[in-house]
Amino acid sequence: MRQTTGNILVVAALVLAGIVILSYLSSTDAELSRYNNGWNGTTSFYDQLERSGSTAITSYPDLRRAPPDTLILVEPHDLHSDEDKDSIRQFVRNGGTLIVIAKNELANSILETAGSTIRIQDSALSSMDMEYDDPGMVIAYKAQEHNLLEDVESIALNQPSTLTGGEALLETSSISWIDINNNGIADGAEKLGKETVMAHEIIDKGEIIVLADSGILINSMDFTVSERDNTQLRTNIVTSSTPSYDTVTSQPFMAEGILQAVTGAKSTTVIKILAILLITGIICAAYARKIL
Amino acid sequence: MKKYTGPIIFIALSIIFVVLLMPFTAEPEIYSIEDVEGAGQFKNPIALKQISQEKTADLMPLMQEFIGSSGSIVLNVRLNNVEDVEENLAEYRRASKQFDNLVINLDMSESEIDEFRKNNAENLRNLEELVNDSAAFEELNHLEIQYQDENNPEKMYSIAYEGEALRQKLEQEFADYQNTSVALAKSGEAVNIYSEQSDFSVEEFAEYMDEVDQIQEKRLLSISDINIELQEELTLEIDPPGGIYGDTINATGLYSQTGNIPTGEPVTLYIDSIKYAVSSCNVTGEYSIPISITKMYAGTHLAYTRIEDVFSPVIPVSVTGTDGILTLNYSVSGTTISSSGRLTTEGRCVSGAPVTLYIKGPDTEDNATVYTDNFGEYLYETEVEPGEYTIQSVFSDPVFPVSECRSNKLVVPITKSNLYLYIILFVVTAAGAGYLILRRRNKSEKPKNTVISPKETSIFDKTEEFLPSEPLPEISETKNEITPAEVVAIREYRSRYISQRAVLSSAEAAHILGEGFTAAIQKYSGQECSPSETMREYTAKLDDMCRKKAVVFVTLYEAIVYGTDQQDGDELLSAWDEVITCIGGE
Repeated sequence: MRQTTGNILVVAALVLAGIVILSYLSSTDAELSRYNNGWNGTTSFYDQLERSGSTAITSYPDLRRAPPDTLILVEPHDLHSDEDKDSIRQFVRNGGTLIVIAKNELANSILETAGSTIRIQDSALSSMDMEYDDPGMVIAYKAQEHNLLEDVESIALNQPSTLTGGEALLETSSISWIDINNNGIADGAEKLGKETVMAHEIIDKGEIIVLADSGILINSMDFTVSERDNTQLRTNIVTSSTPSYDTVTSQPFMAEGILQAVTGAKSTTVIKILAILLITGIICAAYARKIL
Repeated sequence: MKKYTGPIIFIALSIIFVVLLMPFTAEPEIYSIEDVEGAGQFKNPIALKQISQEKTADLMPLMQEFIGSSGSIVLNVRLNNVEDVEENLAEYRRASKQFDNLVINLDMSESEIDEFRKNNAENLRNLEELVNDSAAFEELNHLEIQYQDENNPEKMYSIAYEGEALRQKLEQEFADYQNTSVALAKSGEAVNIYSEQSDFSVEEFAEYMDEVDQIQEKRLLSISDINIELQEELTLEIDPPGGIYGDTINATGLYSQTGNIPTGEPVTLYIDSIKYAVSSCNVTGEYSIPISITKMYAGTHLAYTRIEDVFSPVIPVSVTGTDGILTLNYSVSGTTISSSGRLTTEGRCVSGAPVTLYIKGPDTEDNATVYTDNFGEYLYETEVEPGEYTIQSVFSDPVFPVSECRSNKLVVPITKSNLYLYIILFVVTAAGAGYLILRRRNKSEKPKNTVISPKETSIFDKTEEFLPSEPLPEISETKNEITPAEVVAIREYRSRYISQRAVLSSAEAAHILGEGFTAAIQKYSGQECSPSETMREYTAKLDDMCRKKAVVFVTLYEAIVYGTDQQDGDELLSAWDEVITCIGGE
């Protein structure tokens, strides 16, 4: 009787430890990561996307076979293969909407590939119109009507960059500047003026929309920004016509080491089944050999 | 093997958890999301204070209003709408002050907004000059009509001369206004302020100047027939021709007149058509008037002198602007911040200058303007709530030929007063002390029929001197009621004495009876016997009859305890019996 109780305790401890280890290994504190539940992760955004029926794009050639209406890329890295580039280009030309949410100039290569003239200027945009006590928490205002900006008048950004080219959809107020010396005030050669933070461009049948701030997608920007229309903008993005999200080059899906293995296993059904079978087999074997 | 399976698993688990937790041991403090202001590229809004600050909505309308107001003021000057002009100017001043505060609090001192602010301050000064001079010019027009009616050619000449001085000044103001308007429009356009109205105001000013020119030309033409060459009778020189803040320059001249020159003839010096000082000529007609450069804006001023209807030529006075230096110090007393400092330029104290102090707290933005004294020093005291404050002082007044200057920003921490803590501590201590006192008092007021064992009493009899005291009030019968148990307790001392005196020294044995004596006093008389009191003091607590017997016992007791005399133990016991019987009535 005593031995049975001991065995149950051991098994329970094993299961608990397994859960803890698995959850630990399958999470990360990498910013923007889809697996980061912390303040700077993007789990809430992608959960919202998945709840709304969005599908993940794991290969760009899939865009040719079953093109979605909208493809969302977040801080995308450079494309290496010509096939991928062609897929993106064709997707836009055939009427797809490409939404690029990025503040780093790395995303410019995809914009160029897609034939857009919009460019991200990696810069420390600051403003006296700020949502939080930090000039980098810039408030941007609607510059013109667009279906993505329905019921959106202003949004709070989190350390955005600026855009050139295209037509402005969201721009800052006049008391904004590029904080070259990063001292939080407009001085020296830092000129005041409106800056574009969201722009769009029509290319053939398709459209490219660029928002120069991936910071609006982090978890802490989801529920804290009560005074602005950030939630509405997210909702508009998520519920825009059949969106899919990129997992190939987007930074939130960049995982390394154990996290990559675990997330890979979690996203592959065959591996999931194999793992369950393996664990069950080990437990059965342990009982059969009276180890437990 | 099976025996070790469990421990091995748990050891393995322990190692895994230790490995997992290891990275966090470097940061021992408890993690709180609200303490993480940012990491990597982003800031954490949970840790930042939400302010929803939209200053564009405050600044832009004001900036637009300045440009619009300028045109209104110039137009009303031209139309001679005096009341409207005053009203517009007052509103302009109020808005300028508000704008200055906004820009300085926003720390935009090196941006186009601040450039706009400086140009705006200059614009305001130009407009104030314009309003004053246009009023003076209008007054001349009224006087001209009056003198024409009186047919007074000398007065007409004076009017024409003063009119000419004013025209020159207005022309200079117009030139300044044009320059300022261009600069104001340029700095405004940088932040999307429409400047069309600025062009309109310059056009209005130009038209006003045309009107002034026409009036003045006509006036000069009307006096051309008057053959009075008064200019040659009064000269004026400015030496040196200009200076900086704090300089004293001299306006000197000669009043020459055919015939005798009256001694002490008053000479009046006008600067920018405003009476500056009055002096007098000496016997040779010479005069000298010192001009101290203090509240004279940087630029060219026009000076002339006048003796009755005799005018000197109009001479320009050049005042050069210099850089100001503003210091700031602070001291804190409780929750009061005292800010002080000094304004100097070129090593000279600037007196009577306005210095605005900006005090920015966690949730407040205040400012106050004080004026420097004769030593250029200023002082401002203010009461604030606990928190961290940033203070800065700013001097900005175009009336002084000293450029705008700011002190360093100082961060002033105001800690919460410990007064409340001290009060709480005091109350807690006082309450605790009160409780202990009451507890002790209650203890002493407990019913006297409590049995005290021999071990509970302890007598320290060290004082030799007998201190008589007033006998205590008689103890009531009720208090003296002794229970059989108490009697037994007191008798125990007697039994102990008898049983132990053979083995103890006589002093040690006497102590037993001493303890019994004390216990009896405490219990039977209800008196408290403090360990600090002597046996003789105990006896003073008894009534006269018992005290005498107690003194006999104590005398014997002391003799034995201190060894001053060999006493018989039986005698001591007998004395003890007597006193105990007396106290307890046994």
